[in-house]
Amino acid sequence: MSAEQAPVEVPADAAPVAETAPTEPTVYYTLESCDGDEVKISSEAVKQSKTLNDLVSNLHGGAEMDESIPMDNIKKPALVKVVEFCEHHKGEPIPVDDDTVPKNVTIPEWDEDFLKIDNDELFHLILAANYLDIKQLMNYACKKVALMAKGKSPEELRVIFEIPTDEEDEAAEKAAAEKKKAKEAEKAAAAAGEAGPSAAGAEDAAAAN
Amino acid sequence: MSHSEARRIQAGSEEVWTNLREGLDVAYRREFMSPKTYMTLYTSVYDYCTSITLSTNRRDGDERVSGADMVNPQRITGADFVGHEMYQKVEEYVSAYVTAVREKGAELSGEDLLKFYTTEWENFRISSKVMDGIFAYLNRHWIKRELDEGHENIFMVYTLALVVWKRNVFNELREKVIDAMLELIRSERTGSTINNRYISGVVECLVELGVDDTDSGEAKKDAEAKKLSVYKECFENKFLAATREFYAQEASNFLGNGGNVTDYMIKVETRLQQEDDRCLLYLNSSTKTPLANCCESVLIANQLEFFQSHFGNLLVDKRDDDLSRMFKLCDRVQNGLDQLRLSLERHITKEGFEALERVAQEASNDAKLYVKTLLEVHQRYQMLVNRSFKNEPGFMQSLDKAATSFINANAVTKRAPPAAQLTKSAELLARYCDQLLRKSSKMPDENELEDLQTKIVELFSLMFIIIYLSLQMIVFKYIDDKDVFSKFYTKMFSKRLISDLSASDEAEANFISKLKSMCGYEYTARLSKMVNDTQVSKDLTSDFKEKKAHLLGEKAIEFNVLVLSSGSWPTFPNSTLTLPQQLSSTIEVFGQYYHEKFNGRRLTWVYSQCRGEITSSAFSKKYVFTVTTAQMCTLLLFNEQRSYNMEQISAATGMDAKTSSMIVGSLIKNQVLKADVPLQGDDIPMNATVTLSDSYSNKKVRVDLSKLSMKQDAVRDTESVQKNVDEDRKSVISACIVRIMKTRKRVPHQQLISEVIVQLQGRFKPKVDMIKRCIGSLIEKEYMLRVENQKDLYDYIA
Repeated sequence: MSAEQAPVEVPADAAPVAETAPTEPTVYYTLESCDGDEVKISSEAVKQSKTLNDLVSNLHGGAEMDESIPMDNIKKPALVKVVEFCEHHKGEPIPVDDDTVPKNVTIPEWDEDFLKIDNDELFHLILAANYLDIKQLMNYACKKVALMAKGKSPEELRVIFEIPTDEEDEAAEKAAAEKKKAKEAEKAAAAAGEAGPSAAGAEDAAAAN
Repeated sequence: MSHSEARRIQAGSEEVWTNLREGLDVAYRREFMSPKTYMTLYTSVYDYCTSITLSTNRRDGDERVSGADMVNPQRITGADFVGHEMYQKVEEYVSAYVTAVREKGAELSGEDLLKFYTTEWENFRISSKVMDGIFAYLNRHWIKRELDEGHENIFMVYTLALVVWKRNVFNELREKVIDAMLELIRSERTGSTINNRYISGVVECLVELGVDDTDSGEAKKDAEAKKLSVYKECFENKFLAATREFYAQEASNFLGNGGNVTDYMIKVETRLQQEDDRCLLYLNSSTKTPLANCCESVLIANQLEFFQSHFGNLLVDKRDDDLSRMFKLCDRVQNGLDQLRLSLERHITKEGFEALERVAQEASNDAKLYVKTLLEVHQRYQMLVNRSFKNEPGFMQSLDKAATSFINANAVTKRAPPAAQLTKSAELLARYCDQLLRKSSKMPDENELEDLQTKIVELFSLMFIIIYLSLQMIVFKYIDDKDVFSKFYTKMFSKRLISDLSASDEAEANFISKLKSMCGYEYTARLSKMVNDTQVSKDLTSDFKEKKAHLLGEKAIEFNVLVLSSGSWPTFPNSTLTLPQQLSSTIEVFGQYYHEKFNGRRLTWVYSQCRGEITSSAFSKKYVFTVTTAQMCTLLLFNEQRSYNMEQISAATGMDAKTSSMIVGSLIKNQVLKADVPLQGDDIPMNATVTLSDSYSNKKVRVDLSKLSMKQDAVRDTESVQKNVDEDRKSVISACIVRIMKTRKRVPHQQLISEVIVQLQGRFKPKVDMIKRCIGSLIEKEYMLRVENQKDLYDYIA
């Protein structure tokens, strides 16, 4: 009985034209490597490193800082690499370690490429990731190392990781021990105030080895 | 790399700690710390931890130290800092700081204490976060390992800070702090403004302090509950107790001083809102529900009697807003509405009865007034339930129960003779439906108005009819004896169809479909068939006229036929009638036609329901009379001669004495005929002589003479329906019993009775006595039997 009313179209207010510039300017921090070089990193990328993130929140509540942050443990090449990783992965959540499940890490393509570096660099990268607590980088880099070691014989492992043989080990140990003894003897002699034959004799004995 | 090497060799353990401690001082004094300082401190922890990694390796029994050791080119013999030592140093530092804080605040109380506590806590929290960042590496390695091994009393650094605070500051100050908080809240409740931060700060602290006890992953599911344990134990419980006390006092003061119900409800509403806001503003969100429960229990649940005692008055005074208020409040507590629902039911029932008392005399015969009165009461309370009680199902049920009471048995039904009391309501309702669906004489004649106008008027009438019919359905819902209604309705409907008195076919169809949706297909099957018969008959008639008109001859009378299928229509009284030649020839031809079409069917003419029009030029002017067939046959006799005596009339028309006397009587009452003997009631004695009345005159040209006899029919209908109701019900009950027995095979007595009642509840309320009697007769007829040695158990006999 009641006539059906056709739905009335209410024109929506025209949406404001989207601006090309981002709504907030990105904040950048400056990292200074141990050899004095500066590398910039964005505030979003900083979140990938727990250490840096903590620093930024604790000291400045996230605002821009005038000073640069010293990275005394990291050289420039490694630092650049680290920042590259963080910038690429910015916005991603930090992986959570669940010890109840066996870890299963797959290295994505970009990161595979990223990790095509020689062992020395890789090693320093791992150190840096550990120092700065960048979980994802640790996961990938260590996985790479594990893959390098997988299925290899002890001999091959020695070559790759430059692990000394048992004999080389013992020799090194002995040498270190002797050196220590010599130093201690020197100190004792110096303390007693007597320079001379006994010291020289000790040195000779050491040199003979 | 060389930097770090140099660093490690030089740093002895004491120096390491001194630097760290200086850094902590800066942090805990909330002084500015540069990133450089922060990183230096962080790095010294890092160095310390990485050096001890090797020491612990040695502890594990691994004697070898690799020569090409890239981390630590020279073994450090001096800096054998066990992680535990550093941890302990941190703990000592924090303990010292915290103890100092405690001493500063030892003498404070009240608001001063809160100010102090919240400020100190905030500073402490921020500083500890800084410390946590600096010692992050220790967290990650040594501390994590300790936790994994399940050592107790080792915590992450930030958690350690919380534990230390809790032990040394919180536990000492907590009583005074909590008391100060409760006092502040109390003063706010009595109208003062307070600094929210004093309370929210402590609340946040309490929540943080809850995370200290189990930080291990296993207790994750209880973590949420544990988190709030400190908050709840130390604060919330006391807070709720204080709240309870406060409001209990307030309520008893107010009510003790004779506060009225409206004011009290407004007060309660205000307080409940305030507490909600309070919780939102500065308490933990988990308190929202317990707080609401506490207030509701004190302010509402404990005062239910007070509410209930005033509910009735509010109803009487029609204070809908207050009723709405009371509903909302009582709804919050368990069982708060129970008493109110009962009161409403009682009140509506009373109102219904009283309303009908007032119109009892008139309404007994005025169906429209009766239904209108019922609807008025129902509508008023329907609106109330809708507006003030939010259509809550329990209240709707109260309305339903009350309506069922006063619609089925009230002052009007009580006035009916005892046999008819049960069915009176149904009858009146059916009668009113009939009124609505009939063409009223107020409807304009089609010839007098233009088509368009007619259509508009028809449309409006249709609308109104349908609206009113919808209202009837409301009342119909409550009628217990729906089968009675059906009988009345069917009879009246058949009359409307036969006499073509329906105001609108659409309205009829609309009402039938409403009945169908409420009562099911079976209920309206007959009605639908009747409608069908009418349609078919229309087609038949026009087909007949086309094909067989030529057989009727020149002086053919205009006529329509209604063929009724015998099962669907009500039974009509038989009447013998000898038709004059003009009528009988037509009937014969039609009879032939019908038998040609439908071989095997038997047609029986029901003259008692027929009517027609007869033109007369016997009087001063021409008249057109609408008459029943019986009247027609009688009048046509007067074409032959001007007067007859009753016996002659009876013989000529073929009617028996009683019928012919009734028919002639009706014509005399209409003044078309006159008799030399006065009427005795409705009848004319057999020895009377009847003459055409020369002086007959009427303002109208078209006169309906059939109405009188129709009225008599109506009265007879009522009586016959009521007589048959019981008989019909017995059959329905028996059929139902047989159905149940057939399905179940074996049924206990009580269950059978209740099943029957349930199955028939859409039609009528069967009396237990009647059911028992039906069971008895079914046993006699051997449809079922009583199981031997088992009392009250029946078996079905297939």
